[in-house]
Amino acid sequence: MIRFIHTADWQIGRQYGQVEADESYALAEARFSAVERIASLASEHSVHAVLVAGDVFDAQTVSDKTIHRLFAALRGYQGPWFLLPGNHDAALTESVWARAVRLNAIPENVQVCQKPEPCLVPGTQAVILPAPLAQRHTYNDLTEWFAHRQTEPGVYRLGLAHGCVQGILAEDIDSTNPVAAERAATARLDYLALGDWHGAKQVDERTWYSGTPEPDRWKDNGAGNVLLVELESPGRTPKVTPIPTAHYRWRSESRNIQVSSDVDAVEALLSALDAHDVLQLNLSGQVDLAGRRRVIAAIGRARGLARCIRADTEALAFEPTQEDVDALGADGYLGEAIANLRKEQGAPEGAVPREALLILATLLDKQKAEGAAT
Amino acid sequence: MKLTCIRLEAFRQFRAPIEIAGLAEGINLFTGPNETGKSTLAQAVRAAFFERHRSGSVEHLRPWGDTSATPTVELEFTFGGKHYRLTKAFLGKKRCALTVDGKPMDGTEAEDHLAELFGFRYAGKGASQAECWGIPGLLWMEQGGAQELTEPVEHASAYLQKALGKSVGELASSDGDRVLAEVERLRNELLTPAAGAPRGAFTEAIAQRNKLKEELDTVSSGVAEYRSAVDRFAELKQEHARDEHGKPWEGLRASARRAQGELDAVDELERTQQQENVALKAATAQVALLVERLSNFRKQEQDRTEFRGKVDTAKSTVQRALQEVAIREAAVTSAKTTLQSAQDLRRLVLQEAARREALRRSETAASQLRSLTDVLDKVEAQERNLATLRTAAEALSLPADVLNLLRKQQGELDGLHAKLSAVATRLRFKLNDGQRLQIGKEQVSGAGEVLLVEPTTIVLPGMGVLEVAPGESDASELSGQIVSLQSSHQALLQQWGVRSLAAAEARALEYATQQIRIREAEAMLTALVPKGLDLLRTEKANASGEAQQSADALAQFPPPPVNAESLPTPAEAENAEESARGQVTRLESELTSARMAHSGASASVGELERQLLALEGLVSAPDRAAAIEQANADLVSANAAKNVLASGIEARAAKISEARPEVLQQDVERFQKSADELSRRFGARHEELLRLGTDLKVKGALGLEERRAELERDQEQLGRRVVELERRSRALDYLLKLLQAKRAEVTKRLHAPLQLRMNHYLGILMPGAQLTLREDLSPESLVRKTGQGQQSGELEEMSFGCREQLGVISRFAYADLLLNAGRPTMLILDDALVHSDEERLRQMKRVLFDAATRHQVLLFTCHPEKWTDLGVAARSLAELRSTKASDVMAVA
Repeated sequence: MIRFIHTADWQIGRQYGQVEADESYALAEARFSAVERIASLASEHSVHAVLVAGDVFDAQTVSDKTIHRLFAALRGYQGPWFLLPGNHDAALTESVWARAVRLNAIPENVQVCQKPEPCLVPGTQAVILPAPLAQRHTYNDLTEWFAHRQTEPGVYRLGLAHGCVQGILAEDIDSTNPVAAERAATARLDYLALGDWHGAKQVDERTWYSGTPEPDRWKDNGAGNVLLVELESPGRTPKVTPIPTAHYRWRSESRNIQVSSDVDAVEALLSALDAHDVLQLNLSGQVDLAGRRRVIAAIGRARGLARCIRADTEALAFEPTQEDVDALGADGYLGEAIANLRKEQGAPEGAVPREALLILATLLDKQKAEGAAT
Repeated sequence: MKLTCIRLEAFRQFRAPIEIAGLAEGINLFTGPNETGKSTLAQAVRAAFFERHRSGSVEHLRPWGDTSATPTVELEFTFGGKHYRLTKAFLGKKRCALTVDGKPMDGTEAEDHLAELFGFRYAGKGASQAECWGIPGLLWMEQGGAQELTEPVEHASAYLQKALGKSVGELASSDGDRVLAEVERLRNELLTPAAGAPRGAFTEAIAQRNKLKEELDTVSSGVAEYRSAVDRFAELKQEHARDEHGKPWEGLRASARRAQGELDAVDELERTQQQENVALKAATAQVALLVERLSNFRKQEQDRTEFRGKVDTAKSTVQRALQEVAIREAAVTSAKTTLQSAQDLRRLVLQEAARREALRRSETAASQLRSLTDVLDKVEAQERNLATLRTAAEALSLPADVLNLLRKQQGELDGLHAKLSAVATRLRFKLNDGQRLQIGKEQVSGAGEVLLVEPTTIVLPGMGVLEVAPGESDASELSGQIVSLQSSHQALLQQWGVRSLAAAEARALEYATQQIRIREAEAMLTALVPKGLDLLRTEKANASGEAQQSADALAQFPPPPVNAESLPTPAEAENAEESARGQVTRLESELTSARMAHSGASASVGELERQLLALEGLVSAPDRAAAIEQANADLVSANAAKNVLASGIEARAAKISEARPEVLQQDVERFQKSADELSRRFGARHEELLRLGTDLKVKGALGLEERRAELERDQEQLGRRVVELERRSRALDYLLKLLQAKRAEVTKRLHAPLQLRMNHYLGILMPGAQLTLREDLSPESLVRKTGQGQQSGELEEMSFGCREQLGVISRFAYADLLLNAGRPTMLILDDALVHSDEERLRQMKRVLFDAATRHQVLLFTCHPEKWTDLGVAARSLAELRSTKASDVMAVA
């Protein structure tokens, strides 16, 4: 019986432009934390090894500091780590791995599988067959050799690869670094640990994408886990248990507001956020003055709750009622202007009038509030 | 509104109280020269309204020098059907009292009521300023200020708007302008007011984004460079490993060596070829030599045959020549015989002639002697000695010409002999002791030399005879000449009784000696017998001697031949001899030729025979056959050797040509260069690897991609901000334009009544012209119809007079609006329109009259004559003052 953790796509060094500057730093930091958590989990579950199926680093030329930090984050688990070069950190002649070696940053218990050669997992009957990428892209199936490599009977055969399983990832059909769909079977693998796909995904009973341990995009595909893999004996079907590791929940929510209760729902959604949430909120539909005030206020409050909110209200039209207009004190030509803008915001080129209407309403609202205050 | 009464006291020029009552509706005209208080009156009205009664800043209202006075103004007016009385006392006893229809109002309350009613405000502190004056400030025109409109309108604007706003109130917006200003402010924070270009935070965001983009581009290209350098590094490393293992230059070096070996072999062949060529040349030469040698052998045999023929021919030639010589010799012998006869005959003829001469002389002498003897017998005795001498001398006598002739002959003979000796054949001999030879007629022994002038027979005792025929020479002729000359000489000698020339010479010498003796004897005889006796004797002696001599001479001659009488003459004999000698000479010459021909032919035969002999010797030499055989054998072997060499050379040349040494040389160079190049590239690649490796290490540590990721992140964030700002700025701009447009619409509606009034008055002054209004209701520009269409001009750009007229018109228009809005209107024109020309002034008077039908107008002027047609009576301020002068004085 062996037990190990399968993870991949750490993408250390990734930066987040899709959120604001102060938020992006925390998100980048979270990737190191995720690795630290994996180390803790590995210790906690007393695994025999941790297999990282490629893209440990997001790029070849990360700073020295980043390299040191990554390897330092592994300290929590003193058992063997097997790191596989992926397409982002391919084992080129000069690579992040070569630099790590030069920097003397790689601890002894960490093995970088830079060559397609079997690696023994110390203290076990397991052999890892790695398929490292030695180029950024390849059109050959680097796992081909797994099938031809014989091992002693009674040895666990564990494949470690980074690429696209052909035929199952529809949008990646033409992509590089292919992996044959039935590789686990043809190569008599007990388990094939894959990386590249950022969501956790089972390909067949012995083949899994672990996904990235810390999500990095608003795509709900099961990212944010590592896989605890247990094999009773060679040849038996592995027991695979996803363990959540994500610190941040990346969520993308879309809401269409038509009536006041829709605003209630948005308020409820926003008030339920906490510091782990990285939310993308897309609002559409229409609100009156009150609805708008509530939505703005709810978003403002939620910013204090969540790690990050990316709210897109561009598609949310402002439809002030006559009462609203009166309440805003928009008499005379202001009233006429508001009437114009209300009419124009519905037109195909309505974005600018809609924004103008919002500005005008905001100004009036503010003046009114100031007037009320004085 | 109608001002009905003004009272002043202690007010500037008006120290004394003055009352102007009974002011009418419409125009009130006040006239007076300068300094009569027109403006003070207007000022008093202003002070009454604008200055707080408690103000301490109104010292200027006091009469000059009167520091304790209490300037007081009292006004009465009606408005809205109510009667107002306002009393204002400043400085001294400050007071403000207002009664409205008898209802009193005091102090500040009164003042504020008036301000509200008329539309002005009080200064916070100090004297009231123009900006506080509001509507009255606009309507009450100060002296020289009618043309100023902008500021007064600005100061009155708020009151005007407020006053007029009511009429169009429902169209205006209560907060509109504030919102508009805020929108404009917000908009102008992001966009430049005029061009609408980004500014402030917007520009900064764009600039920052551009800067980021630039930096990102730089870093991106750095990343791309780095990546391609990594690829290059990998490629180089692979190539390096391949070359290090394969060492491709070694194969090329081996090829170069192989090619060099082949080239060396070809060089060796070429050297051999050169040697063989030399050998071939030698062999060819030897073959030629042998061929020539063999040809020589053949030629010798041909020559022999030829020479044999030649010898035969030459021999027959000699035979013919010999025959001819014999014929010629016979002819010569015959001719010589003839000559001999001729010579003999001539000698005989000459001898006979000489005998006859001698005979004649003898006979003459004898005769002479006999005659003389007779004569001389008588003197002979005496002269015996002399005679003897003379006789002796006479015997020795020899004429000089004879001697000379003899000498000449002897000389010629000697010459001929010498010539003969030269041309004669010399026969030298050296005989053994005891041996003798007969040469010609001479016996010789021992050694010696004989000259042979003619064929001579040499008798070899016991052996035979050698006949020597001297060759080509004229010895024979010379000999003939000698004989001929000898005989002439001999005859002459004989004639003169001498044996030889030497004898003749001796006799001549002796004769000369004898002559000397004779001359001595004659001298003695002459001395003894000086007359002709000597001569006679001499003659007798001579004759005697002559006779003796000639007898002796005659005696020496042989007896005359029998045929003496038939002998030819000496000349004939000489001719015959000469002819015979000529014949001999000719024939001898021919003989000589024949002999020479013979001799030549003989010599030729000798030469030919000698050559033939040599040829025979050669041809019949004992080793000749062997030599020819040897030569033939040599030729065969030399040809064989030559052929071997030639074919060897040909084969080798083909080999060399086939080997293509120049191509081999190129191969050597090519292989070497290629090897060098590969080796060099290997070295260079190694260097580049080291350099690139170091470079990559350095660049890798820069964290370029991490930096790029950061930049991309920042750019994305900033990009969103720029988009937001752009959207906001566009929205603000849009909003601003919308609000401005809306507001302009409202303003236009607001301006409509004012515009109407403006055009009403303008129609009187300038028919067809229009004034456009600014938003603050002040006139902006004047649009006039001209021949070229509409012409627009800014008010500020117009002439002073025109601006003044428009200023007045505008104020009437405002007054009309204010009247409609139920506000008090009263207008003051202080010395206005002084700059108008007559025509304009006339029109302005019509305007004024028209306005005055609705408003009260106070008109002050120092030119009363210009205003006589207003239909009102003028009040003279000077008159008013003088009326009250006593009162003024009393107060003072």
